[in-house]
Amino acid sequence: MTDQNPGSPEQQRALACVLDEIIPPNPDGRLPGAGAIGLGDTLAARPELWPLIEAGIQAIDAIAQQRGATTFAELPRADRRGVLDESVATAPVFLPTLIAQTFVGYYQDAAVREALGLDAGAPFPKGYAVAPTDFSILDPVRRRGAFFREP
Amino acid sequence: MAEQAVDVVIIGAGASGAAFAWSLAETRMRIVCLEQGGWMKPTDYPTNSADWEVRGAGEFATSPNTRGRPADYPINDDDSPIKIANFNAVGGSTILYAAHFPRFKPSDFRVRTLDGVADDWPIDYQTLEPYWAENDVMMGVSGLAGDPAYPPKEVPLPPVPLGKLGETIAGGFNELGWHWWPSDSAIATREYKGRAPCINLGPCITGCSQGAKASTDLTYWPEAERRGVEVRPHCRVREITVDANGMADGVIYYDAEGVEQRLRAEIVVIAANGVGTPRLLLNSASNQFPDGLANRSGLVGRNLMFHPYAMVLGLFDEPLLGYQGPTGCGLWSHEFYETDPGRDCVRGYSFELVRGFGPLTSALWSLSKGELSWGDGHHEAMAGIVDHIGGMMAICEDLPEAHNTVTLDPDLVDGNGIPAPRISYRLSENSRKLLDHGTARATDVLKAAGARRVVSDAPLAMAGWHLMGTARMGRDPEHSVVNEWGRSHDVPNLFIIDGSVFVTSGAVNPCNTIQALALYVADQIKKNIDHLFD
Repeated sequence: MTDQNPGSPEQQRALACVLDEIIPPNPDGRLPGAGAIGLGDTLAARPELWPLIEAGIQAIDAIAQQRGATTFAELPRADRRGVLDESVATAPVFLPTLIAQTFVGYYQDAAVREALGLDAGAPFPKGYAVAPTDFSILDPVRRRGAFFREP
Repeated sequence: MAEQAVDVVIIGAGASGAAFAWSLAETRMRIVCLEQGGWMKPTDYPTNSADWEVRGAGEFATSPNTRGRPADYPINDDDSPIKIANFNAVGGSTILYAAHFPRFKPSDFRVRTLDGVADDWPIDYQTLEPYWAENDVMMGVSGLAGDPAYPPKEVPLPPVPLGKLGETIAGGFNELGWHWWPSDSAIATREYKGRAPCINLGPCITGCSQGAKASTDLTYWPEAERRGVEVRPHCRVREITVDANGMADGVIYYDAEGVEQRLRAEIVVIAANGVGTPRLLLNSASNQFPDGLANRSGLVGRNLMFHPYAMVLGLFDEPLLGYQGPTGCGLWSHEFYETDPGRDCVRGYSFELVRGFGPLTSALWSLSKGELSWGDGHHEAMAGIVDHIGGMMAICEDLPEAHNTVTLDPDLVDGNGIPAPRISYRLSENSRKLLDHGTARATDVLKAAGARRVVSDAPLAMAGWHLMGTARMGRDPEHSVVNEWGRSHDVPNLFIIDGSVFVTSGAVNPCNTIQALALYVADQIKKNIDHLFD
C-alpha cells in the first residue's frame, strides 16, 4: 500500500492489469499501457472510486478462481478480457466506470499526448499559427450569385 | 430590507443586457444591472491548464445542472430531449458561446406570409439592419463581405482562417455545387478595441483565455460602465413588483451575501433569455397578475423554441489539424435554409463547421459511438480518430408550439430558495424531418470531402443553447407578451429584450439578432421617452 493508494500490493497489481487490458501498450512501444503511467494510484486514491474498484477486483478474482487461477493477475493475458466481460454480470458498474476513467486519465497524460503528436500542456498562451485561407476557393459560390429569399 | 431607487433596472448582464445598457446609457439615466453571476477572470478558463478537456466538461460545462456553480440555478429539463445550455456571469452565455455570429435572414421575419406557418414578426430585416451593423462594430465581427445568401453587408474584421479541416470540407461543398461561405464570427482576427487577436487555441466554448472572443464582459460592459451604468454582480432577482396601478415599481433581489434587497425603478428591463425571463415573470405573480407578470395572454413560458441540432462528423484518413482554430467558427452553408417543395417539411436549416476535438473528447465520443473499443486494437483505431474528425452541425429551424413550455418546477429551487424552471419540450415531426434531411446532406458533403466514415447524432442532447419564443412579440395583446419594440402589453414600463421575444427561431445562431433587438428596443425607448408609458 502506498501513501495514497489504499489497495494491497495484490489489489494494486490487479488494478494495473485491468488498466492494461483496457488500454494495452502499443505493440511498437510508442504508447504505454494504461497500467504503466501511474493511473492506478490516481484512481485508487479517489475515495469515491475506491470502494467500486475494490469490489470489482474482488469480483474478477472470484471469476479467475472459477477458471483455476488464484487471482485475476495470475491469469494468462489471453484469458483476462473474457473475465472482465463476465464481470459485468456480478459487478455491472465496475468495468464501464473504469473504462471511462481510464480514458480520461490516459488521454490527459502528458507523455501520451506527446506520443500522439499533440501538445501536452495548456493550449494558452501558445495557441497555433493557422495560415490565412486563399478564398479563391469561393469562386464557384461567387459565380452562382445571390440566392437569399426576399419576402 | 435596504431600499434604493434608480431610473432603470436591467435584469441580466449577458448578450442583450449589455448591449441595451450601453445604448441607453447616453440618456444619462441612472441605470443599474443586476446579474446573478460574477465577473470572469480569463486566467480561470480551462485552456490555461493541461486538463482543459476535463475542466471544460465539468466546472465550465454548458449545462448549469452539471456545473452547479453558486451563480447557477438548477433547471429541470428531464422532460426534454434537448438539454438547456447557458452560463451565468457578467457576459452571460457569451462567456461560453462559440461566437458563430450570423444574422437572421429577410425571410425569417415573414414565415407566415411565405410558408403559411407560425407567425410573421411585427418587425422586419430592414428594421434591424442598422442595429446588426452597430452590433458588428461593438462586438468586433470577422467575416467576408459578399455572401450571396444575404443582402449586402459589411464585416469589420477579416475572416478566421479555415485551416486544413475547413478547406477540406469546403471542397466537399464545392464538389456538390452547394453554397458555403466563411462564417461571421464574433472573434477578433486582429487587435480590436483592446482585444488581442485570436491565436487559434481551439475550444472557444469553455471561455476565451486570449480575450479574442467577443463576450460582453469584454465588449459592451467596459464601455457601458464608462458611460455610468452600474453592474451589480452576484445579485439574483427574486421578483418584479408592481404598484397599485399595475406598473412595475422595482425588484426584490438577493445580494452577494444572500441578503434581501429592494431596488425601485421607473423602468424594468428583463434580459434573462428564453428560460430565465419566463421564470422571473412567473415568479412575479401577484394579486393583480395571478398567472404571472405580463401574462394576460397566457403566453409567458409557451412556444419555447430551441434549434434542434444534428451533429454529423466524418472520420478522414488524413490528419486535419482540427484542434487548431475556433471550435464552431469557420464556414456556414445556407443551401437548405428555405422551404423546398421537394421536401416533406417546411422551413430549413443551416450548416456550421465543427472543428476537431482534443484527444480525450475524441476518445470518449468515439467510444460512445462504437468507433473505438478498449483492449487490443485500441491504439490502431485511435490513430485513425484523433485529429481525423471533422464535420458539421445542421441547425434546424424550430417552429413555435404552445405545448413546449417553461413553467415553475413544484419542488426544485435555487440557492436562494427561488422556484426553478421546468422544461417540457417535444421534438416536432417537422423538426425531425429537417434533422434527417440535414444529416443526409451533411453526410453527402463529408463523403464528397473524403470522409471514410460518417457518424451522426440528432437531436444533439446537449445543444439547448438557443432559447427563444417564451415571451413573444406582436401587435396583438391577445397573442403576444410584448409589442413590436419589447414593451409589455400589460405593464407599460416593463421591457423584454432577449431571445424570449422571438416570434420564430430562424435557422441560425440567434445571439447577433438578440443583441440587435436589444439595441433597437433601447433606441425606441430613447425616441419615445416623452410618451413611453402611453
